[in-house]
Amino acid sequence: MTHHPRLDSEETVGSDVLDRGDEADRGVDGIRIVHLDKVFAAGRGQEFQAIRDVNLAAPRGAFVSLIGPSGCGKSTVLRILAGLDRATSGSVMVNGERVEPGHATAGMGIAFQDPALLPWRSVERNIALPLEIQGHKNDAAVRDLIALVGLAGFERSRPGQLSGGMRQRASIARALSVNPRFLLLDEPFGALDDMTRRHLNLELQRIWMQRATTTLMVTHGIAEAVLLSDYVAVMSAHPGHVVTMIPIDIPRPRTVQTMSTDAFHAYVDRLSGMLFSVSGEDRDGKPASDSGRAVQP
Amino acid sequence: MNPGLRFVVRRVCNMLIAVVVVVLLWQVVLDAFDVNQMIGKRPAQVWTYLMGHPDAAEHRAMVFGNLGITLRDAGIGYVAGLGFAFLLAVLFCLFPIAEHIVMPTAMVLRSIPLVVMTPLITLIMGIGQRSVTTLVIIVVFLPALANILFGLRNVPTASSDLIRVYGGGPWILLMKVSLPGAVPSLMASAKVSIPSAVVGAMIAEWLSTGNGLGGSISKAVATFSYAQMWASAIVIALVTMIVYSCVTILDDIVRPRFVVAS
Repeated sequence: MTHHPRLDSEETVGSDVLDRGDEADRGVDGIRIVHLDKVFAAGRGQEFQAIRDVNLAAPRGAFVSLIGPSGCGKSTVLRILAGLDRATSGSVMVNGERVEPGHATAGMGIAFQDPALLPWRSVERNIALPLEIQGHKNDAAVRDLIALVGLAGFERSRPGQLSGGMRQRASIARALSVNPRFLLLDEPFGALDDMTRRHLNLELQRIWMQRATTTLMVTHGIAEAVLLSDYVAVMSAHPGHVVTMIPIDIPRPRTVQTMSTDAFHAYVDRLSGMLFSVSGEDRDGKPASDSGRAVQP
Repeated sequence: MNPGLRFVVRRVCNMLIAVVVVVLLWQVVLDAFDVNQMIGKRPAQVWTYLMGHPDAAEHRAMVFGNLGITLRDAGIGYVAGLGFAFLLAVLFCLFPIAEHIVMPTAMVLRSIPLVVMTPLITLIMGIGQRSVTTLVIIVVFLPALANILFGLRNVPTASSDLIRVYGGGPWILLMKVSLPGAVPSLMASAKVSIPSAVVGAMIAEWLSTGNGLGGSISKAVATFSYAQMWASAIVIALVTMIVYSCVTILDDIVRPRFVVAS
């Protein structure tokens, strides 16, 4: 895939770039998050700012990972992108379309850490659920998806009869059932063991390369993020803020061998260092005064 | 033997063991406390009353006749109470505001002792089926409502998020997720409501219509017919237990299809 030239340096995530005008930004309308804030009411008149001025832009067809310390608001960003939560201020667009909370964004697929398969439905009927909701049945497409994620032969199994990895495959097939132009993944492999996780990472890459769907994945795994992504966005501790976005220039398809290359390790080390410095604690374990500053240019 | 049949046979055996234990306890406790045989009838005496006595056929006709009335009284209220609870739970699920209006009223209604409530209902409804059914509904309704409502609302966040992301509204969430997910709590309500419905029906019969086992037991006590009283009590207990076991078996067959795999 071709990287948009303006995204090839770290400085491009700043809001100043996004403010330059629509004309220049046409190439980065896969995901456009502008000045996004989310404040939650925390009871007794208290407020909790989950994210502050989050800006992020990525071209269509890109695979973007969002990493950051626990509780930094990664999932809040994802929920706003999914239209599940309303932003306090700012705007979110995917593939040139504004996300409106309460309205289904056409062509969006989603998978969570919890596969959330309905136990009374067979695998194929679980995968067909989004199509069923949207009123277009497509049995052939569901069969193809089952084969694509490697669940052939388990069409009529119940989720309770499947392993964790197989359930997550079904969950991803369900996300793909609407033939999405935009895919949201919230720590989809977070609950799996390392072997299964790595295997499913490579499967996901294969599926993604066939479709070139704009994808945003929230993850805790740095190696996973580097392995899969075109861009890795790093968020600081709360209130969450995208500190930097790093393009991953490793040719595809990436394989298990990729993970032992120097380039791969360099990315992982660099991102680990950033995560450490933004995690809101300095080396003595005391909270830093302003964690975000450390890596900002 | 096929697994289904083996399952049923095992359940029936369990029930028989329970019956034997209860009969033994009955005998042992009454003997241990040296309860007067005139009042505290033993299992053998009840057996004689129903099966061995010269007038046994007459006794059986009376007890089972009354049993039929009580089962009808309990059954109508049970079905109506559960149905009503289910419909209201669905309504509350779709329109939560309705819950805040109805629930406090229902709570107050349920908190009034049945011995006060029953004559009051009889005064309003008149002596007859209507007042009995009303009382059974009151007994069955509230616990079932609370239980079914909990089941309907016990939807994993990820599941409701999923429905919303793909454009499904409250109705689709109800039909695709909440209702099937509430089957286990519906079954649990169906189970626990059986004994409550029988108790409710018998109280209503005792304090209102004077029919059925509730009526006949209180009359038997007044006329010192203790064998009839014991026989009636044993028969209704046994029948309640059998019905409960049947619903339990049904529950065990249905529930595993609907519980969330961990």
